[in-house]
Amino acid sequence: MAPVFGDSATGVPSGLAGPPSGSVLKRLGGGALLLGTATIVMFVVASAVGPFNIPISHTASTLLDLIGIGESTAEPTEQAIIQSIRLPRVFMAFLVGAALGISGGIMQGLFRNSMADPGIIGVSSGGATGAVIAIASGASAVSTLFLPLFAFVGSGIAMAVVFLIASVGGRFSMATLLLGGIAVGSFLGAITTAIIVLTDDLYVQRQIIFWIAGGVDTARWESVRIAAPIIVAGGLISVFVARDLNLLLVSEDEARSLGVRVTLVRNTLLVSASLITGAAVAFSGIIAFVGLIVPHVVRLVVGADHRVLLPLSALAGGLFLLIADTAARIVLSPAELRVGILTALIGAPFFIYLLVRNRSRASML
Amino acid sequence: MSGRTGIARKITMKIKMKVLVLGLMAVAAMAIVACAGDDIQPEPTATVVPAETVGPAETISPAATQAPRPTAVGPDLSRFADVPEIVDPTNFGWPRTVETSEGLIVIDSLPAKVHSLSLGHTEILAALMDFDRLSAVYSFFVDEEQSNIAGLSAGHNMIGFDPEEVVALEPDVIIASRFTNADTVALLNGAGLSVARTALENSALGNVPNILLIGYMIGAEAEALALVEDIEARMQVVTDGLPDGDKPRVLSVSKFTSTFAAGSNTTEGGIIEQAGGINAAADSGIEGHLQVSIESIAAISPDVILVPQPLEGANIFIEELMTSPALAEVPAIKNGEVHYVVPKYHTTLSHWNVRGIEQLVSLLFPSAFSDVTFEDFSNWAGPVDGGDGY
Repeated sequence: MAPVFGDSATGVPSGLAGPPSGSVLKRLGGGALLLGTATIVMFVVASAVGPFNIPISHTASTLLDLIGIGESTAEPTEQAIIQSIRLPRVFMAFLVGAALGISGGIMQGLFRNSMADPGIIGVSSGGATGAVIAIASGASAVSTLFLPLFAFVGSGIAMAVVFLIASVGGRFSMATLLLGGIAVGSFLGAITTAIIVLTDDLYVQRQIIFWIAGGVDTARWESVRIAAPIIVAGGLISVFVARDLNLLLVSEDEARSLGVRVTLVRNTLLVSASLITGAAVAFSGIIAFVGLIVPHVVRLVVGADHRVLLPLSALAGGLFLLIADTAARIVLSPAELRVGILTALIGAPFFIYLLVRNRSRASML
Repeated sequence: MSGRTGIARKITMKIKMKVLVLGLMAVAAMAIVACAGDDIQPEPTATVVPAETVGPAETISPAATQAPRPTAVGPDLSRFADVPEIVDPTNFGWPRTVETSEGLIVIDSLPAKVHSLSLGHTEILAALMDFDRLSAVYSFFVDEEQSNIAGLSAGHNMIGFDPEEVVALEPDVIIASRFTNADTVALLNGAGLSVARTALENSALGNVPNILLIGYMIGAEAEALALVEDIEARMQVVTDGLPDGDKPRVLSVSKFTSTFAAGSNTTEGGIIEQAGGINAAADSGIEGHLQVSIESIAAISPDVILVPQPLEGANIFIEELMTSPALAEVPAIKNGEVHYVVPKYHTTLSHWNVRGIEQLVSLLFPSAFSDVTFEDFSNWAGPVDGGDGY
């Protein structure tokens, strides 16, 4: 796949290889402050709005009560709605968005292509196949945890198979990884479609279709508690090796000469991104375009230094999905849209814009 | 040594490549065989139906069947004049012509084989004619939770969703619903088959013209009139029994991964309104089936919640609703008015929705209907008086 980042992305300046400079820290700090503040504001807004009308003062006092400040003035029903429905959903939306944002940033970096997304090596398709098997077999009806478990295992198996394909002959190839990912993704997509088509049960078909459409409407604290450690740990590990990713972008030989353990770093990033994506898909289904557009937009603003790009992509992805999910909840209130539809509605035109812009630039050269 | 290893590796690679190429060729060959379909099969798919029961379109003989069917003529035949799709409501002989959204369809003679592409229409057909006249059924027709003709369908000729299978059956007339894929209808029309697309309504009485139309097309006027009279009598009992006073706000919700409410223009909503309730989802501005959250249910705050989905999932969902702290103040939860209702009465559009209405009035107004016993509809068990006994 030809690199399309342009010089700022593929030709990493020497400043990106050393310890974080003042400029890096400034960009990271500034971006984190801005996005962090916006996220906190959005947390409050998302907790305050919904089909059930709750006065903002009641929401504020409930949130403050939860962090040990003052006492909630909300009615018991209002408290229950904020604590057991809105907050888990708000946290899950942020976590899933952050997961997709950072894993998209990693994949785009590793493949040196801004059109790469978290599902490019078949992880999302594996998750979908796992979830579909859970629904079609009835396992999802036995326990609410079985569906995400099957989806996560499906993602893991897909990742392992693609890794095996890319490692055939003892030499790991990124090109084979990409092509293998596309092939495995198509294969698993066909299995998913076959299950949908061949099942006689219309209710099962509906469950599968709505799960695939993506959403965080079924989020509970239990699911947040399971997804959060995986996503946070994977994110931290990725940020920890972000400097080495910068060096990998220059060339593997140069990275080796600078002491980078190329295979270890690359595999760590691939596994981290896959696990993060798998955890997100397991609890939200397939949410389109977040992992594609968020890192791209962040890169346009802060540049291609992954020490800045990855953490800010996580924050921006979380914020974007939080905004999208809040909009999905209120735009048709008391009914709601699936957030996956909304992100695709926003993401698809943006993706087309990127394609057109890239073609325009190419024609000018 | 390394040279030998290299040669061995090359040989191994070549063998692997050959295996891969042969494998791909085998897959391609299988694909070609699959595409070739009937051409290479020893028996045509039409043999699924016994030869003597299949009436090929070409065998229709208008001349032999043009005489009016005197047995079907009765005083109520004037009701067919209210069916706009019937081109000449005074003609009860053959051929007869109807005009649906698919255009003019001339039915030359009494159809020996009828095919239906929708469960709802098939339920109506089962009440109007011998089920053996139905060319085939689909797999979901045998689902006892969705289908009111599961028993009849279980032993019947079952086909897949490929239009080719329908063509092979050579039905004399095909009935499609407004939800039937337009390409499927076009393919069947293109194969020379007559397809009539009729729209079923979300109202029991609103469906009367459709039932009369279906009866007219298959030559079961007397049976159609009998079914219509049964529906009208049942609805009269319901209407007469409804008490005056405030109407309960009723919400119909199902959970398929996410939760969906039935708003306006839905089968469930129509049943709620005809049973004397207010469709709470429609009242809150929801149109069609839309996704809602637990919080939405709290905001809608219905007096009664109905769950028309398979029992296993319904029980889990009802438990979730009853134990959600966010719904503790909702009247339906506080008063224990969360009910599983039989999905086949509530979600499949046919005359069986009247059973859903009857079930619901008993639920909403138990004292008003305590002395009424509602019974299931009967499927065709022989010719109705005035029918031709086909």
